[in-house]
Amino acid sequence: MNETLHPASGWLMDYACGHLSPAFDIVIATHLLGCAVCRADLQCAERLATEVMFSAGGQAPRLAANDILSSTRAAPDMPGWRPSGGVSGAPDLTALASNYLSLGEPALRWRGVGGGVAVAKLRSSEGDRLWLLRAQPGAVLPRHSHSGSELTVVLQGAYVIDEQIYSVGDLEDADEDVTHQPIVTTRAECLCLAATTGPLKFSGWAARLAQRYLGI
Amino acid sequence: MVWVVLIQAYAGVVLSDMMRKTMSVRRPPEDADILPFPTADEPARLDRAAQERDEETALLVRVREHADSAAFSRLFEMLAPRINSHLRRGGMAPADAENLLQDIFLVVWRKAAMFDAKLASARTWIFTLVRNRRIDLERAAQREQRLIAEYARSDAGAESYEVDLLAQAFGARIGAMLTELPVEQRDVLLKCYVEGKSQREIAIECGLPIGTVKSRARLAFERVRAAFGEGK
Repeated sequence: MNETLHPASGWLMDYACGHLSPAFDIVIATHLLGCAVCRADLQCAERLATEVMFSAGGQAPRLAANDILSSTRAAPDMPGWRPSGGVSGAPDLTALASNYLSLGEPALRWRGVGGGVAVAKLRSSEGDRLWLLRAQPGAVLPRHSHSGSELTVVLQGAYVIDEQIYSVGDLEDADEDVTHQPIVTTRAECLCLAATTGPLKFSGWAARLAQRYLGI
Repeated sequence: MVWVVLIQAYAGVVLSDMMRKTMSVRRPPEDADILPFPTADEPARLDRAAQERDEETALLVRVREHADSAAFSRLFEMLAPRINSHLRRGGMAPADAENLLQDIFLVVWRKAAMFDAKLASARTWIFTLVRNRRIDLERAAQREQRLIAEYARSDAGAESYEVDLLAQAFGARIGAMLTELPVEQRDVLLKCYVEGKSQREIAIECGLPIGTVKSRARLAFERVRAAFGEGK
C-alpha cells in the first residue's frame, strides 16, 4: 500500500486514544469510512489501548452496580450520546459529499480564493480548523507549505501532486516539512475535507495577499 | 457509528465555535498511589486474562439479550475498578472518575443492544465508550491550551522508559514483544498510550521534527499489528 494515501500509524494511534481535535478527528473518521485496511489497523490500535487500560490493578470506586441500576429507572434517557462502535454499514463518500454540499447557506459560507477554488470554514477552534474545499476541474492551487499539520481527505473528484493522484477516500498528510501544489484533474469538480493547524504558508505574493482577507 | 459522529458533526457546523480544540493533554500523575501497575509475571496471567475477556463478553451478551441485572453487576465488578484506576492514573479527580463510570455503565445497560461480539470484545467496546465520553468532557472543559504551554516549558520526558515499566504497563505478552523495539520507538508508544500524548505533543516535548515521530510510530505500530496477528 502507498503510505501517502492512508494516515500514518501515529494518526490512528492518536485517533484510537482520543488525542485529536475535532477537525482532525473528523478527517480521520471520514477516511476510515472508506478504508477497510485502516479500520483493521484501528482495531489493533484500540486493542492495544484496551490492554493498557485493563492491565493495571483495580481500585474499586465507591459507586456500585446497584446505584446505576436504580438510577436508570429514575433518570431520563441520554439524548445526544454518541457511543462508538464499528464502522460497518458505512455510507459511501459520494453520499457524504452531497450531504455536506446540501448544508447550503448559512452553514457553508463559500469564499472564492481565485483560480476556480472556493473554501468554506466548517469549524474553528484555537488554531485547528476544518475546511470544505471545492475546486473546478483543472484548477491549480497556489503553492504552499504549512506551519503545522494539514490532513486532507477527498470526497469527490481527484487531484494530483507531483505524480501521485489523490482520489475519493484517499488521505493526504502534509505538515511543515511539505510544500505542495495540488492540481485538480480535469474530469470533475473536486471536493475535499481538510483539517489544518496554524496558517498555511504561501509561496506567491498574490496568494499571501489574499490570505490576509480570507483567514486561511 | 463513526457515521453518527459525522452526522453530529454536520449538526455542529452551525455551532462550530462551541467545540474547541482538544488534545487530551494530561499531566504525568503526581500521586504514586494512583499508579497501581501490576507486576509483570507468568504466562498463567495471560490465560487468566483471556478467560476474563471471554467471561466479560458473555456477561455483556446476557445483559443485551435478557437485561440480566446480575450479569450487569458482575460485569461492573470486573471492569469498573480497573477503569477507575485508569482514569485516576490519567489525573482525573475521584469524583469525576465516578461520574464518568456512572455514565459509562448507564450506557452499557441501556445500549447493550449496540454491542456486537463479532466486532469487539466487551472490554474493547467499553474502552471506546470511555474514550468517547472522555473526549466529550475534555472538549467541554476547554483546558488544553494552558497545559500545552506547560508542556512546552517543561523538559519532562527526557528520560527513557525502563523495560520493567513497559512490561508492567502493557502486560507481559505485549511487553515482551515491545522490549525488542529500539528504545526511541518504544517511547513513542508509551507516551501515546500510557501518558496520553498525541504525536504532535510528543514532537514538541522531545524537540523532534514531526516526521521523525511519525516514522517511529509507524515502525513501532508494525510490531503491534504483528503481535495482534493482523498483518496487512
